[in-house]
Amino acid sequence: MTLALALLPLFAFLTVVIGPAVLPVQGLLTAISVVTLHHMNPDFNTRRMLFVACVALAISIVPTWKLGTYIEESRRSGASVALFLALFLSFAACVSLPAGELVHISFILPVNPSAITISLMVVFAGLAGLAVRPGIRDQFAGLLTACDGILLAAANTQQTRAVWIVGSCILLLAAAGLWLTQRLSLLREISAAEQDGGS
Amino acid sequence: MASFAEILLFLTLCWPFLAGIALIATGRPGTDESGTDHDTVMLRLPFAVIGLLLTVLNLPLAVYMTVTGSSTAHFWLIETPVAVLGSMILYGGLLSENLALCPRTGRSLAVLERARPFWTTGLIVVAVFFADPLAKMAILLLASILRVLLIDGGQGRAVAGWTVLRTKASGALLVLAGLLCPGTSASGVLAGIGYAVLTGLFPVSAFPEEADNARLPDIRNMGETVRASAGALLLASVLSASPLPSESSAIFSLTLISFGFVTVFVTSFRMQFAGASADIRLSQGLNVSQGCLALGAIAAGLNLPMVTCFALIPPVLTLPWLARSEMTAASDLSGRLAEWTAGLLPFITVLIILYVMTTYSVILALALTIIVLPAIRRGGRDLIPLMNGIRPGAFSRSTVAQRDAPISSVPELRD
Repeated sequence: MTLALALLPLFAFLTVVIGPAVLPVQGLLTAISVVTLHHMNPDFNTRRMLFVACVALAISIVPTWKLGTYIEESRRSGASVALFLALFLSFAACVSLPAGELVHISFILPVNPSAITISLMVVFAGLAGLAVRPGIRDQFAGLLTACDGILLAAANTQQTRAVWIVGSCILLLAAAGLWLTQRLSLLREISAAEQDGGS
Repeated sequence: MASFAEILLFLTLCWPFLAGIALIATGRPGTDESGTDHDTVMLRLPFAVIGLLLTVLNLPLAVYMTVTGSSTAHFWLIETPVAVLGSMILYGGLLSENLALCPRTGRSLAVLERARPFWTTGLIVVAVFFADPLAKMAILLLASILRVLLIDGGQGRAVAGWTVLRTKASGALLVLAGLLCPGTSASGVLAGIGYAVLTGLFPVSAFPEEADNARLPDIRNMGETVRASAGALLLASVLSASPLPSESSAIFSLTLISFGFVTVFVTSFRMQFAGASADIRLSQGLNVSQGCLALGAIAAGLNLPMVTCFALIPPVLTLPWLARSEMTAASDLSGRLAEWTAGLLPFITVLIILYVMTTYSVILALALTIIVLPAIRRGGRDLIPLMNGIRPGAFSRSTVAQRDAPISSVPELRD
């Protein structure tokens, strides 16, 4: 359990509450965790690990950079509900997944059992944000958080080539989501600019 | 034999993409304003027929290789009879949609719009044939992303696109989390909920209402939606057998069965309270399709992939006809056939499921009977015209003249 892994759920909860502003830090932590997992298990494929880390960085930095020009939504409704749901689900994940019994059960052998719980917590936090928050930017941030969790879990297994497909699919998903989010947020930017010009 | 099967499978998987590219290449607008649309319709139908034929040719090979026990795995793909049957149904749905769209040549489709159903169906079929469950899920998600990119690129459709993408992405991420985070119980529950979300069982709806003024979904979106749901169900039915460990597989089955039960219950209720209106056939057809998806989920949970395929036939094949006949000839022979298929096949599916379920639990079978009986009565009254007292003798051509504007679209075809 490294520091990056330990901080990851905290930043996932922060993303659920605050929105896309925290995403780069979270992507950076995910990438660091993936690379650390690779260092702890030298028999992993290096190119695969680097690909997963790059995807994690790309899907968190590029959307934040692209969405930075748009105006923040003023209302923060639903944040407490989403945070409560995320905390509840994460607690359930921690309780129902004791780390000891995990190994040698499934067809996918996990490498680091604590990373499984962390990735589940991150996925749950992201999905709670995606399901509960009303604003599209916050929903998109939740989606990207869940993608980070999936990437961490994918890097944690010995699973062979499917990681490439899953990673590219997540890249495409982030691109499509960014495209839709920009189209839906454009109106707000124009109205805000008009307000600024008027006042 | 094995190499022949490999080549045939490769052709089957490549065909829809090649067909879509060919449709785009031939359908350039502006070259000939009168002839272009007609040409693509003439191309679309044979392309869909060829796709269906290639899959049908795969079936005896797959059965033979399974019976003789030879290796069915080719590279990343695995060829099982269930996968071939499922892809047959998907290609059949594609052909049925193209046939149903055939008389509407007057409304020209965009160039990408012609190729899109081929591409998404091809991706779903690839997902059905993939061996690795993670890769299957990723490809299925890719089909949804492609659908959103191609359908919802137009102005004012971004909200609808985001709704679809949000639902499909959350379902796919849940399934991926379930497959990637193995635990005794959490894995099965997560994968089950994810597949239920992807299929459109109760908490989400398989056929969400459009945000804009159209009350019922468009025919082309509907075909896409139902094929994506069917693909998710096919993946679930294959998954519940093999790759999960036994205990989480049991929980996965239980999750699917309970979601299916709740959905059948809700759909049965909804069918009772469907008000009498002009498009009651379509709305009841949508309800029946939702019920069929739920029955397929129950069958997948009971580990009966063949029954799942059987349950998927009515929604995939008949829905375009039910949607179309509202605007054109209601007394079409194929429209009638679609009505009978949508009315009868779910009934047979219910009988098969009841027959199997009594060996597991009599109480569950009784509960399913009680839930389903009113829905069967109402669906039969609304869908099958012979039971409808308002329309006696529906097969005879003499009554056609009394109904308003039934054959009005046929002369337009000749123009």
